[in-house]
Amino acid sequence: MIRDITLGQFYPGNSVIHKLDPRVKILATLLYIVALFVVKDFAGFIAPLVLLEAVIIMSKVPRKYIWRGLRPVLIIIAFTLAINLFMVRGEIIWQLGVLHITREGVRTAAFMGIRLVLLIIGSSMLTLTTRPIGLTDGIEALLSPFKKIGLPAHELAMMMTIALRFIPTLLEETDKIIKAQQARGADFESGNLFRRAKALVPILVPLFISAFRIAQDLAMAMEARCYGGNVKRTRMNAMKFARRDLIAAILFCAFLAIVVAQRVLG
Amino acid sequence: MEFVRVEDLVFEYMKTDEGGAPVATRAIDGVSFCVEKGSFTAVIGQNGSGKSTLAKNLNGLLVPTEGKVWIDGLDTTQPENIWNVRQRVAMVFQNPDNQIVSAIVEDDVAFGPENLGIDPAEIRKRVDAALEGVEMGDYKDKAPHLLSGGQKQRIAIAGAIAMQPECIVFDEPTAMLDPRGRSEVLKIALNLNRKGMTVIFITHFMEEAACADHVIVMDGGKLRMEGTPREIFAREEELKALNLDVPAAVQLASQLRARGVDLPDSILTAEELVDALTQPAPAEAAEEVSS
Repeated sequence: MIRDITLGQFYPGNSVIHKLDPRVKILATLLYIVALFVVKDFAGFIAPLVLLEAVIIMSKVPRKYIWRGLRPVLIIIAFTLAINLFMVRGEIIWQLGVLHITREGVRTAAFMGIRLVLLIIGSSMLTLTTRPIGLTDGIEALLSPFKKIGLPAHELAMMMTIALRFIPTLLEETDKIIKAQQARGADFESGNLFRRAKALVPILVPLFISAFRIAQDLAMAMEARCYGGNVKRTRMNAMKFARRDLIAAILFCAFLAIVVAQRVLG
Repeated sequence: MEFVRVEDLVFEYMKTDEGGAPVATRAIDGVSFCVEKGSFTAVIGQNGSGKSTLAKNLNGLLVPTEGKVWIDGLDTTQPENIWNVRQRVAMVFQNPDNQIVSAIVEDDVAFGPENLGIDPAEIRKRVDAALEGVEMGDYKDKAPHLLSGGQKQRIAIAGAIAMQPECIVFDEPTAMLDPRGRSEVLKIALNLNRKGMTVIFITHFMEEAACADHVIVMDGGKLRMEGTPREIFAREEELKALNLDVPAAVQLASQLRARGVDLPDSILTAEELVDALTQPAPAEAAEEVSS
């Protein structure tokens, strides 16, 4: 179960998308998400769909890998679909007791479903094609103008790097604790929701303790490797705004223009 | 030429007793020794003997409460020396998971050089060379959590090598590894030493200590014995009194000697024992063992 997680996981590669400047990719992803909310009808999804398809093909990330990242959020998508399907008022086309489905409900559900899937796949393309260090360096660079008003940009970026690195470690730790508790007769599978939530307490307490121990070890190891904040740090892969980044930025602006034009004119 | 000089080192840390009042606990109590440049020194001792605290005093992660530690002539109690000391003495810790900072192998190896403010092209060279040095070049794009314990520890060693230190302190690097990972890590440490790196190897595996040029035995925060592995492991009774063992080959040799097998005193490894048993009079030796 632990190794299945792809959300926030990097897929090593050497494609054009991988090589793009992380700053460009982060800004483009944010604007792409905004664009998805600018879209007002089904025809509007054509442009984002084409863009996403092009990015997926260029990135050479296997589709199987992308689908796997979608799986954990399927429940959220299903939930959103159900709510929209049953809750939207309008012309009733099917009814069973208090439950009814309306024409408008079907339309909204489909619309929201497409928007969510595009949103999740789009943002996971960012994390799949950008190495974690690039991602945090990019965020650090984009946030650094705010340093003047006291935002600790480097510290935030370092925290994110470490958080991403330790997600699998903490999951493994959780798995170990659950197994240890089960071996002592703990029951996490039966009872109602409340009982099950309560059964999680004996997992969380040791998990917190081991998280603190890991943090202490890591701080020691970082200090031993001469970490002293951002005083004189250099980067192995320094970010460079290259020609391909300019081309990507221009193409992306064209995409934004199409989305806005479609909304205004369509 | 000496590289590390420890003089009357005392280290105390504060602990709170049941009432919540702070109590000073002495982890290291008056330890003095020297480590020669280019040597391989093993530090052995049971849990709580102060060997890990000693390791952390060797690169300024902890500074002495009393006494002095000099690294290449630099006094670790002087705050302005700290970065120079840490650059000269790199460390590899026990838990392979908790010392890897980045989610990509080569980015992690680059972490130390990046902190030193080295030019990107030079970092690239150092990272590639360090990963080749630990035979992990093929894994540079992998995520560390998908590697085995021994492989993770090799990444941690590469991270230390990339800082180009003069000395690496290994703080029980093999304690959490399987036998294969253990022998890989020891092999790398010995290889580095052969190329001129000063190595300080803290361990509780006596077979590993037997590979060193020099052994230091710690107990209760004090230095109890010091010498070559042959000298130390000849004092089996004293080691037993400190709850320490001798390598299996040494133990077997001494039991055979007690049964009347004629063996030299200098046996340290399994290979030496086999040689001693098979070379002079194979038939006779085999007979003695079976009786």
